[in-house]
Amino acid sequence: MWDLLIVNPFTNILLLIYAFVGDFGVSIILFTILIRIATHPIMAKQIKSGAAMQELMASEEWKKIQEKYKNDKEKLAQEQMRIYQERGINPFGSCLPTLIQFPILIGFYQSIVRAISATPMQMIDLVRGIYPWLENITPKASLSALIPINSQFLWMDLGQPERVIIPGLAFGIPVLAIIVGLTTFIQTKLTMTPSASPNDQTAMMNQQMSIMMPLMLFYFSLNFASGLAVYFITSNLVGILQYAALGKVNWNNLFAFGPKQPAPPAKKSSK
Amino acid sequence: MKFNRLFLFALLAALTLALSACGAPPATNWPGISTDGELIYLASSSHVYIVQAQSGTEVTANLSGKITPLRFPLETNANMSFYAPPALTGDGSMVIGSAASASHALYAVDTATGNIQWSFEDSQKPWLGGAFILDDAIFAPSGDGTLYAFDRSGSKRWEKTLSQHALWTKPVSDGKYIYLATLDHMLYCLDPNSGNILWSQELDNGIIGSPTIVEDVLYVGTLYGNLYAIDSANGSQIWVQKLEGSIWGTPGFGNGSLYVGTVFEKAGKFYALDVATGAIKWFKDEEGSIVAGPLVLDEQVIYVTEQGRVQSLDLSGAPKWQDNFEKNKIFTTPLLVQDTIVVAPMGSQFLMVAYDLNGAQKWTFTPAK
Repeated sequence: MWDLLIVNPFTNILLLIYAFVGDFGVSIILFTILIRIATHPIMAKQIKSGAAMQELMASEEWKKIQEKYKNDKEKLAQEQMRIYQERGINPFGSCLPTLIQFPILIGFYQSIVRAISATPMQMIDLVRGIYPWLENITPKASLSALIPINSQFLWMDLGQPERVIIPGLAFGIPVLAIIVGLTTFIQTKLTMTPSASPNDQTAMMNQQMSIMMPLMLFYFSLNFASGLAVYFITSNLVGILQYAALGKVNWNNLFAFGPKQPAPPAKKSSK
Repeated sequence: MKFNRLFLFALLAALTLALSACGAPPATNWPGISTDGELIYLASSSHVYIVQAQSGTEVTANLSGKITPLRFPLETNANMSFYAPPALTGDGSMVIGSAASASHALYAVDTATGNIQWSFEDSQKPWLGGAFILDDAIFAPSGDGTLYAFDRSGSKRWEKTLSQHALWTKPVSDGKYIYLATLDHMLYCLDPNSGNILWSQELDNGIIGSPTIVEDVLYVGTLYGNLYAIDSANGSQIWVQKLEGSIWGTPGFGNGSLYVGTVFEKAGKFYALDVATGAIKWFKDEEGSIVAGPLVLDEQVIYVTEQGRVQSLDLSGAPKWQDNFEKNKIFTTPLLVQDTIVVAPMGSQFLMVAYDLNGAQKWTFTPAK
């Protein structure tokens, strides 16, 4: 079912783009942009939910009940739920969209690995999964024209973890993984929602996120097929553009370190 | 907020697990198997195992005063994995490349001690195709699309880049020239001394299985399902026969017939064809895909399926015997060692199972921990 609904369609879209552009790296970039466009409404909703939550947590009413019921967790939870209902806020509103993007990421990675087919066994699934009608769109999308996929993009093999070998060095430099780490860090910082109080849990969590996410994606890029790293980099850059288009990029955050730094107020979206 | 933080950590942890499970290197493939007529050499992921064909027991050696299973590497090495059929030099060496993406070297191993005699580490990609020995030369197809030729001591004689994609098929020879098929539709004839291409022929689709050579004719199948007869002298096409499904394995030959299986979605067909004309003599439908080439004996032909079936037919296509491993897949061509038929299922509790010629199970092989 997973193959049928996620991996096969993703693989075929990727292959169709490849048939037109003739470069698998460019296909990954274009498909990533398509995914970001398709999930833009979800992302916009996530931003809206996050902002509403931040506003709520900065409100006097919220602070009051925190103080009033700090020794009664059950009552506090009841009161929080009441406020959520009154203000029409879904407390999971900022988490659910992330959850929806989760299978997209996994499915996309699987489709990259499948399309590149590093072994004959992986190629069995690829050959079975290619839609026969794909070649009706363009003859370049026939099985004969598609296989083998040229997985070379710039200096890297998209089916293998990337390393740049420098003569004299005993190890390869993971350039792409470093770029993934940097772009993720920049995206996380730029799109971080400012906290009303820099020392509260949100601020601390934001700080943790800005370190943890780049490290996590750096780890993925270090160990998995470099096609995934191309996806991460494209996704990060497009993500920044999307936030910028929504007026939610906080450029001042980029060089603000530590939870005690006073966070500037969030820009109001004009949209 | 604490919940949110926990949720976030759980999400990232799950993502790590999911990505790790769905495609972390090294990539896996089906096992490779070969024999010197007495011992079986099985390349199955972390090790190459050496097993007695008659008993199914792993060969051991007294190494540093300790009886140790003789396998390569002796201790598990996370940077090594093996799937190609090991090439045996006939003088106590085995040549095999590592399929691990982290470290991919070609090794010559002393089969009496498990020690590495020499290694070649210049390939840019992992090794999945089996090496071929001809006289005093070793021909090894690499994942970087290059065919490398070495002498027995590991000195490189020449290299020839033949494809932008990995070379997966094992080279074959008629004793004079080397023939190699590639995934990018090409069939090459090379001079074993210089590596020069004597002729090349572009076929209709990717080629996964090595050609079979019978009396100066190469028989090779493509993913499109065409089975070709090609003149080994000049690469010209003698005949072509379209079969239902795609061809993945090396065609088998015996008693004037060619035998080959196909992958038709999740099912398959097994064909017998006239070697002279390519005319279909008979075929049998199979519930599972037939990826591996068949084993052709004097009075029977044996093939294996992705659904875990080991099927023996007589030469007219009538069933003789069968065995089923319903929860396992079989992609590796069965092997005959003396009077023992050896099959290597995947995902089974044992790595090999052996039968006599009547299909009675003789032994199974599970490596000692």
